Amino acid sequence: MQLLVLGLSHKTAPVQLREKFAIPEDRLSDAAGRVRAAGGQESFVVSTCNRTELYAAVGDEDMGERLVEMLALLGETGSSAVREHMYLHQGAAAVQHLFRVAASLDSLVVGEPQILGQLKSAYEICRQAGVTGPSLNRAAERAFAVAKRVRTETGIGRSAVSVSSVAIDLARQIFGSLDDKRAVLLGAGKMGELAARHLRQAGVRELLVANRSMDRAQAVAAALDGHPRSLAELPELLVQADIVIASTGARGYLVQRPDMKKALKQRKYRPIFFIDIAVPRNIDPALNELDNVFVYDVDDLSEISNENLAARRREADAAEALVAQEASRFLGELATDTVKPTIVALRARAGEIRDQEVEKALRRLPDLSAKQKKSVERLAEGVCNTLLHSVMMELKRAATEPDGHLVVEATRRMFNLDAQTPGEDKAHSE
Amino acid sequence: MLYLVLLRRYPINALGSFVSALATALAVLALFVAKPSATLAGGVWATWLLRVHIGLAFIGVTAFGFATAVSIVYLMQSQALKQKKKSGLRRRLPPLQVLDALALRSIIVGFPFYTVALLLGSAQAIHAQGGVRLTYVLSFFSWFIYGAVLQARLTAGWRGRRAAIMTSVGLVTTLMVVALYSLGVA
Repeated sequence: MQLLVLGLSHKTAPVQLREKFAIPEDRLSDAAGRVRAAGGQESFVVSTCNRTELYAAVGDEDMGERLVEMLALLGETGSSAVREHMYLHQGAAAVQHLFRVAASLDSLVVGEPQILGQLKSAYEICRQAGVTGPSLNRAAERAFAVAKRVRTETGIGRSAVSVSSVAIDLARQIFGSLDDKRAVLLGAGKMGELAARHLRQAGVRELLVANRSMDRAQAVAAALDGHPRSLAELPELLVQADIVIASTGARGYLVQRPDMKKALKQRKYRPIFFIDIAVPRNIDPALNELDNVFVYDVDDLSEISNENLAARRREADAAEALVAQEASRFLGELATDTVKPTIVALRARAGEIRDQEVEKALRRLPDLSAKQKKSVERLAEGVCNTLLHSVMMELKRAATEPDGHLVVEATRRMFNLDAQTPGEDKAHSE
Repeated sequence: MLYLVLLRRYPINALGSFVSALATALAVLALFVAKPSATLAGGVWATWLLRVHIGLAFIGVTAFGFATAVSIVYLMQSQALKQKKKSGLRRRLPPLQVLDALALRSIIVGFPFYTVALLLGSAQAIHAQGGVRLTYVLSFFSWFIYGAVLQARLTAGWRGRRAAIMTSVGLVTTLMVVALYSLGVA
């Protein structure tokens, strides 16, 4: 039984091709069922906007290429045209790939958290449809555990990388919860609207939209479930707002230091956070020197974003190492499992022989003292263990090698482990 | 202990080091305080009064100490947010408003304890008829400072630098009182 993964992703295929292979959620288990019909013993299929992948446990090595044909049919394209955009990993490489995908190391934005959820739900759908099986289940469950470990032990998903998420991050650092906060959007341009929408999603309770043209303010306020205000009310807004997003086309600063000083007293020095995404800037940067006033402009935000991206890349290295280590551990476990029955049988066989021989010897030597009997038993035991030790070590080592099954077979034959009634007949199977 | 309870309510994991340093300092202080209470005129009643006085004062000072530690962290966080560069520090410290609420609350909790302790202390002093000492002056001064901080915070909305400085001054005077008292200097 061998694991394999066949698929295409943002790394290998353009979106025109990926979209042809996109499989809607309600058809995932059908697709996995077709993989089984084509000869895979267990299967599950995941499909997101960045990847479509078939995972399967197969009995023979040529399955992979047959699945390529099948997947090509699925995408209604010729297999030769699509083959170069696909990747096929088998055995260890497949496990490694699954672990990397789950840990978001293969994602477009490395460390983004969605992929794990998508993978889990795709797997769950297929599992409930009964098309997965013990090998895949085990690999998938382990992949999820590894992904969780990566998330908690490395900082890969810790820091915000988009400019709006950086702004929200900062807002949370100032206010804690945003649930009882009021945001004011100055200007009703696209950029500002986008930032305001993000804030809204982050839980900001109330949004006021102030614009020179009242019509536009009304339109944007309606779209964001906020209230329109006139820019003339700015002094009042500075008292009310906790967060101000500035993105007007004004030349020169809309809010100057003396304005803010006055407002600050009225607002009892409650902290205020300016997100100035306008160019030229709308907010006098000198405001940042006032106690409890925090001003971030576009450059400040993107600098933090870059810093976070760099940090994320550094963390990705640590995550890669962790994934590699976990993958090899998992493969080791799988391999040991394949030799486990042989080891158990070998031990049982040795135990039988030992007991028989000891019994025989003791029957012939009835005058032995208890101590001497013990010695005889120990002797037999010692011979057995020493002899078996190297055999078992060899079996365990062979388990991790591609041709390991040959060693297993040879061992079974040499020690006569497949005989129906072991120990009675020496020369048996051939 | 108090910190562990608060931890359940506020996202303040990073305060741990500050708080444990503070707790150690206070524990050391407590050792000093415990020493000199033997020589006291007035019998059992006065001894009990003194114990209650010390107990209440201890709670008050602990709360003020906590408030000061939190205020200092507030200043650090505020500075990190303004400098825009130290994002590592910024992320490790709790949100500004959480710190602010915590500092205010611990002063609110500490103040009544300290007030009653002060009144008991005064009663004791009058009873002992020892005349005006430095400790009395200082303790009333510190009480006045905390009253002012509380007043300024609640009505004028003081926070940040000014509140932190006032809180620290209050703590220093309070600790001076405790130190002088325990050493038996004044």
